[in-house]
Amino acid sequence: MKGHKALGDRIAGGVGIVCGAVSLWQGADLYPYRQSPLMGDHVMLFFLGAMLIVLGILVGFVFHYPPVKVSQADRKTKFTVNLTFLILFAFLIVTWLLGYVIGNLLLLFVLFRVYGSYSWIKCGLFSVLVTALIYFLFIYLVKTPFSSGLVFELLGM
Amino acid sequence: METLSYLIDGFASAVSPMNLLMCAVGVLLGTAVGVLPGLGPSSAIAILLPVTATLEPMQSIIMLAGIYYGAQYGGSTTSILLNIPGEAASIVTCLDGYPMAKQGRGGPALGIAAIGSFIAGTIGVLGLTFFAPIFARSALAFGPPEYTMLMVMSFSIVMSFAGNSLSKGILIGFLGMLLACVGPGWVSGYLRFCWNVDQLTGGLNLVPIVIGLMAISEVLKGLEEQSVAISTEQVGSVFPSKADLKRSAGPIIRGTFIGFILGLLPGCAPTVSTFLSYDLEKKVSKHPEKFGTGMIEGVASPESANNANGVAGFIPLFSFGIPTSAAMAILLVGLTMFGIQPGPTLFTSGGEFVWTVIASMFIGNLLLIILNLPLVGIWAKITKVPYGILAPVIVSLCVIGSYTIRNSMFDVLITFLFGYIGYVMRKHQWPIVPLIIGFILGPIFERNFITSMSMSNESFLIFIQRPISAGILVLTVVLLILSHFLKKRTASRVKASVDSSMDLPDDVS
Repeated sequence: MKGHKALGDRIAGGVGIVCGAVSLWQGADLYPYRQSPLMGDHVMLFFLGAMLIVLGILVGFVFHYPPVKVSQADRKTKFTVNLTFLILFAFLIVTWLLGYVIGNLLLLFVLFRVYGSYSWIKCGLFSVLVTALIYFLFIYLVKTPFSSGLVFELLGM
Repeated sequence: METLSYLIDGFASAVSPMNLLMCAVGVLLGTAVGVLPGLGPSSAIAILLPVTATLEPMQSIIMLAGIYYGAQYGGSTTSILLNIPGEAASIVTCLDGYPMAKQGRGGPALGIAAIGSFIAGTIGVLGLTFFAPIFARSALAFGPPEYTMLMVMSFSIVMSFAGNSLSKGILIGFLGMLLACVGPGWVSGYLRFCWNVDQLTGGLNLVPIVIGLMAISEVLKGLEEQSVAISTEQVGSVFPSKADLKRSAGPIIRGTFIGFILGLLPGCAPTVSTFLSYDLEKKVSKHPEKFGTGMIEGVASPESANNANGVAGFIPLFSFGIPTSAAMAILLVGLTMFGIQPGPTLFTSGGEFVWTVIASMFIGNLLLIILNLPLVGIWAKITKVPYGILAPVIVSLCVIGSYTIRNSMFDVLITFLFGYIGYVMRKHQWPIVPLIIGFILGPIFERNFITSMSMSNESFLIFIQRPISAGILVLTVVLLILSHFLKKRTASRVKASVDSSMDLPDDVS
């Protein structure tokens, strides 16, 4: 079936080729430490590298697939998805600085607000409730050693 | 007799109050998450995996078995009440289940789904009890060449999860294998793909990857879909009438048989067994024209087939360590998380443990029917919990789950990254499961291949000179042809049977 290649297939094919090349390169690095040509940590990397490059070329540039229905989100949803990633990565930084409990509380608060558009009070209430439950289960009962945060560690708390 | 005595010991251990409680909690949690629209059993298990991480290994595995059953049943509930199949295997349940719900007979449909699942599950677990140790004993004769070929055969599973293209599925499967290479090499111990990043020197853990790919991506996809709850207000009594039970008896048995046999074959997805069983019921029915309008046989048979298929999947999982479905792959992750390595030695090294788990599967199946039938009204209500409340809680659970594996925020970062990758893959209908399967099989393949090469002075003939290894190779070819045929046939049936208004999951091929 002829036609334009879907952008998604080209990207995936490209990812396959790049990963294959990286695998070959890493395999070549390990080749000197081999026991023999077919015994060593390079073998799997050479095999996967070659296969990924061949499949990447086929999938990205040779084969034509029937068109797939890619769900098109509206602008608001696209914004929410992208915002979610920002929130998640911000959570990692906040947790590193202020510890898990405050990080999780803020994460939940912002997500309740973004996903549910609840009032500030409701968001606060929900996030405190869920964080308290998680704290009780995982920190108080199970004693999971979460980070208390760089700031509190520096302050000796 | 020996098996029976082990099983009785397993029951003695499984019925301890704490284990029973864990099993019940697992069933309830699994159902509660499984009924959420759009979340299939595999996603439900991935989300709940972290909850089990906090318990003792035995209790965790028992809870995991309960979650598995609960999530399977929860998936049926959304198919029947909302016409939203959580995964491809449940599409066929919608065909007659949803029309029954619209006629005010959602209760009997849910009831027969539970009864069918219970019977199929019980027969399936009986099969597991007697066949798995036999397979495992025969697998003890396997050496590295046989295991290499077994991994090649297992990789054919990718075919059933490849979605609309086998080449894409294989590409993703190889990417999964490549991810598993991160960390110290098996032969020399030199680091691969670590690039001076300390956190990578121990390798990547599969749990954060699975949680990201299955759960976080599901949350993001849910943002786009915002499923509208159209659940029927009146589900009616969940107890089927005598006439319903009489009509369902044959379909349940036939569905169980088809599901169990196909569940043993790597590469035959549960979708194939549910559609084959539905097809068979249509053929043996005196009123095939009424299928699709609310025939209880159309619910009983595929639900039984789906459950029997799932339980049969435990046989290759326990005997060879091969996952035959997405849910099995995640369960395997759970088992390895608690230090259990499924495979031929499981029955000898983890004797008491494995028999307790098998016994708890019997109990989980029973608890499912005891707990879920009276609570069906609550499950119907859960489908209406606003997404704005569910999604943040799921994200928070995912964070906990990926962190607790190694107490590392780096794993949380991995979860987020794979969450985004999973979201993009879902959006473009790229199959996710091959990546997980590749990650699981890759290291086993590498280790056995290199040992085989060492045994044979680097001759590939070793794979065809040894009878078992050659036999597995031939079986692989046969299975590939068979599953290709069955898959093609099923795909055309799906297209022919599925109503355009139905909300289909991504893995429909």
